[in-house]
Amino acid sequence: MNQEKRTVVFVDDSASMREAVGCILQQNGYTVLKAGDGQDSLKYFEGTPVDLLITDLHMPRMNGIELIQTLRNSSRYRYLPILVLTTEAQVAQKMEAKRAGATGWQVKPFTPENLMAVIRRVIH
Amino acid sequence: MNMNYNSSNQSYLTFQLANEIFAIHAGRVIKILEMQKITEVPRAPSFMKGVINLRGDVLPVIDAREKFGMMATAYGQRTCILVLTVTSENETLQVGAIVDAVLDVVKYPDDQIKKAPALGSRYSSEVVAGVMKTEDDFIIILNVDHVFSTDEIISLNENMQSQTENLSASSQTKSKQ
Amino acid sequence: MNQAVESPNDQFAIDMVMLKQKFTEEAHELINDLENAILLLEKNAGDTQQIEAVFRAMHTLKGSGGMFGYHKISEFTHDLETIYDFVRNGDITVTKPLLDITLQAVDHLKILIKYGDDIDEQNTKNHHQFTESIRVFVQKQLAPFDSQSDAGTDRAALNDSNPIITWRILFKPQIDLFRNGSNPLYLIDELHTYGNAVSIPHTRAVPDLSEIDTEKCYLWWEIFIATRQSKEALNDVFIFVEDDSYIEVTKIGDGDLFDESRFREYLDKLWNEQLQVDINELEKIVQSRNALHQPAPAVSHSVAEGDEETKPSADNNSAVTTDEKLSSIRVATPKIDSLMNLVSELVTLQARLSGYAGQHDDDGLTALTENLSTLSKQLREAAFSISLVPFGSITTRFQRLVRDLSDNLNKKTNLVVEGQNTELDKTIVERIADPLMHIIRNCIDHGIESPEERVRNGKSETGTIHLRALHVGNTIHIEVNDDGAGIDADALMRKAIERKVILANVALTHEQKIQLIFSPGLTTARSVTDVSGRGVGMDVVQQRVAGLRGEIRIKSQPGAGTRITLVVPLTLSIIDGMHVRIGEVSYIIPINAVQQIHSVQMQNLRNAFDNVLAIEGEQVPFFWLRKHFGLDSTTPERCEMVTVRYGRQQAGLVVDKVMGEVQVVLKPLGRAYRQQKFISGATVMGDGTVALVLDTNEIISRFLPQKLATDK
Repeated sequence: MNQEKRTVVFVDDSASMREAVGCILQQNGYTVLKAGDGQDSLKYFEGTPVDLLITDLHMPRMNGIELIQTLRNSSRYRYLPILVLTTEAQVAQKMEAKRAGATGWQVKPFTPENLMAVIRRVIH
Repeated sequence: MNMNYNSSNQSYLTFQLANEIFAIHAGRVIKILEMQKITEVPRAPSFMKGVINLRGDVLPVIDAREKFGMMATAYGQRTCILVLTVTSENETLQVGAIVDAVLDVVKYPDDQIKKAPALGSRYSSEVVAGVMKTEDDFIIILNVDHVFSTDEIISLNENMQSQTENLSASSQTKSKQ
Repeated sequence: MNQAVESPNDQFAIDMVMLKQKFTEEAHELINDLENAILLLEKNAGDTQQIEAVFRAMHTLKGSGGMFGYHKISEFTHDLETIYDFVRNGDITVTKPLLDITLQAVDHLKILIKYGDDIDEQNTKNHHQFTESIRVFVQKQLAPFDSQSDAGTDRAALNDSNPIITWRILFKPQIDLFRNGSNPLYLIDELHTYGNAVSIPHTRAVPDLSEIDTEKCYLWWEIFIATRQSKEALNDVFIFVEDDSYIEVTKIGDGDLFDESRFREYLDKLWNEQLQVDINELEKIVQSRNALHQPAPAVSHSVAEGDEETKPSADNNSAVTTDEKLSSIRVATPKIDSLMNLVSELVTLQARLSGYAGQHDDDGLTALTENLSTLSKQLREAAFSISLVPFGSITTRFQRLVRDLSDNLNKKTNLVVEGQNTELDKTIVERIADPLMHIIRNCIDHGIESPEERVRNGKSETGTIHLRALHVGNTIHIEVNDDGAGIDADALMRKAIERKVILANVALTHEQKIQLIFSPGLTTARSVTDVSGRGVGMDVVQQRVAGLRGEIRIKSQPGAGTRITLVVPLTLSIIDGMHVRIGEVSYIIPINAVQQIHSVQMQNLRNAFDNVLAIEGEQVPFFWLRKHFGLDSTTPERCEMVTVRYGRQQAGLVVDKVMGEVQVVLKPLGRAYRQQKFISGATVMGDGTVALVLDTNEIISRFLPQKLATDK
């Protein structure tokens, strides 16, 4: 349980979601880098090493699936843990994300505890 | 001054700053390092150049020229860092001193070291541990503990000059021009 | 994980109000966009861009709505989101009835946003009817698709009433499990939080070193766990990898088999000899255990929490195993110090090796480096744990203080210490004692009321101060919790105005007023006693704690009491930091202070009024370190701003570039730089250069203009 402070990139086109998730993550000791869509988030992957990506799937410009594919094709982030946020309860959505390379998912809405439990499943 | 070096023949390391030659007790010199990149510490006096990595420890580095109020110059081929042990307020610490060039290690008998004359200058006796005479020159032996533990710039130049001049006048040997 | 401590998520509830407001603003915009998009779709039903927009609006409203307590919005948009998902995939076409019903939905959404979940009776009725009609409509449309649904990933809550069962879990990941960024070890770690557990990795499938492909997972595991969690909860741990792994959860027996030495020995044997479990052997152990424990002892643990020593040994039919008592030896401090120094050097060297391996594309080297990295991390933790001392080693003095002071003030106070065994860094324990003394003194002096007053207010005559220490992540929380009168926020406010700490016309929330206690020169004691009131103030306490790279939090409720929490790092010698650059020089900002990183244009910094930038709607004072440090090399066009905590506020530190997170060994900068208080030390980086560690509090208080400093 001796976790170091990790950097999480959070991508969602909803500003209030960004705020909320940012809040939860920060209070749990993570550094949060936020972006409104996949394209916008790419800058974060150039500098500081990122420990986890949490992304929504449906966003303008570059959507979640495209973002995951882009990262999985880069040598640096081939093994980055990636969580997707889904509202759709359909299995198809999750499977599409998994095929693209997502590590896991979290169904919206969720409580801070839900989210943290899922995160702990993919990074320490 | 608590500098008891018992043997009668002591080794001194001589080095150059601008046109002057100084000596320090060789026992105080731990290492001589090549000039290297120094990490500057912001908002410090300009003679305090910053810190370097000395085998995993952090060593503060002082520019001896600037410390003595001499003009700073660009570092050259022969510039190097003397790693010295300094005792200050009962604490032994290490400090790096940038000098223009290291010249020599000389042996000099204790009993021939002249005491720094008390010349009215308030720095003299603190800065200067002694003076040794070579064939054609006087070399000042620095009091390392004092020189490298104060935060002030020591205006050495005038004092030095007046001291060596005085000394040469008082001793009847041939003096420099 | 399931301990009953104040989780940082409590804070979340406080921020919720603010977030809710943000959400409603956003929702208004979304509903507007939604309306627009539908009107455009009426003109051109094939406009994919608008379809996408409708879907996204529904998606966000549904997802966020539930997050911010708008459950009605969430349930209402659920079916609409589903249908527009089919529309955007081309499975359903946009029809007039669909657009009609969506437009009606927009109107209803406006009502839901306005009134939240508390809509009146009439609207509630409408809501149910409408939701139902949409559901019917959607189901008709979707009839050919037979949508599957899934309940999500709600974790089975830990249920104390479940009996403990010992399970065996077989976990065989597919060879390319790593491809999705999954790390099987984390899942195993998670299992270990559920109860006593032993994981046996099976390495037989691992090929020779020369043939190892570091991108493949060759291991599989057998995990034995005794837990109250249900089988579903255990399976649930593997939910992300269940498609890529073979998972089997089997019950091996009731109760905690780890109590059985035979069981433990058997597991050791399995481990050592790399054998797979022999079910017969296990059954024998289970049976012999059942024979011994008839009936199974119901050990009651309802003893006062934290007070381990006084726990009676409830088990009277089995011989208490004495070998569980820890044997210990005394080690001279210098020996530990020298061990810690060596370990520190190893950590530094390790960082250099990692850097080197990163520059050289050599799989073998990378794999070895990673192994070494894990090992040195473990070594560091092991060595570090030696130098820890229990919190209990300093608590006697507090007992004494409480006793003496209460007598002195004619009050009755009881100090309850919990977490005596929580271990802390020696240096931190020494340096935390004084601030704690002061806080406890304050509790008795200002917090705990006189016995008469307590009785008048319906409290017990004796006040209680709870002092407890606990690990939270890689920090230690030390809480001082009293059931006294609480802080008189308004008195504090009046005092602050009187002392010109704040202006008379500022409006502060209760929280903010309480924070004033950290302002220099304030005290609310009605009379200045010789106990506190004079002496050091909370501002000094805060400084002391900040000096330990810690922070202090305070919560107070009038009449109910005050809780002060000191959050300090586990160790002072190794810190996690954000590596930044200004010009050629590297600096480290301790990570516990770092909040966020923003990219900023130099132009914006130049033009900023009063050195304040608006970041996501918040006014953030910034410090352009390049300027404050007097560095004159050319400023890059784009800089980065690291926002850091400063008391309850945040401030931005502008640097040239953020390089990334590092773990460094803190070295003192030495006497030579004792004037540079804003540099707390230095460290040797992986490439051998020296980086300076910044003390963010010092930087801010040193470079903060006076007028800002006062309303901190």
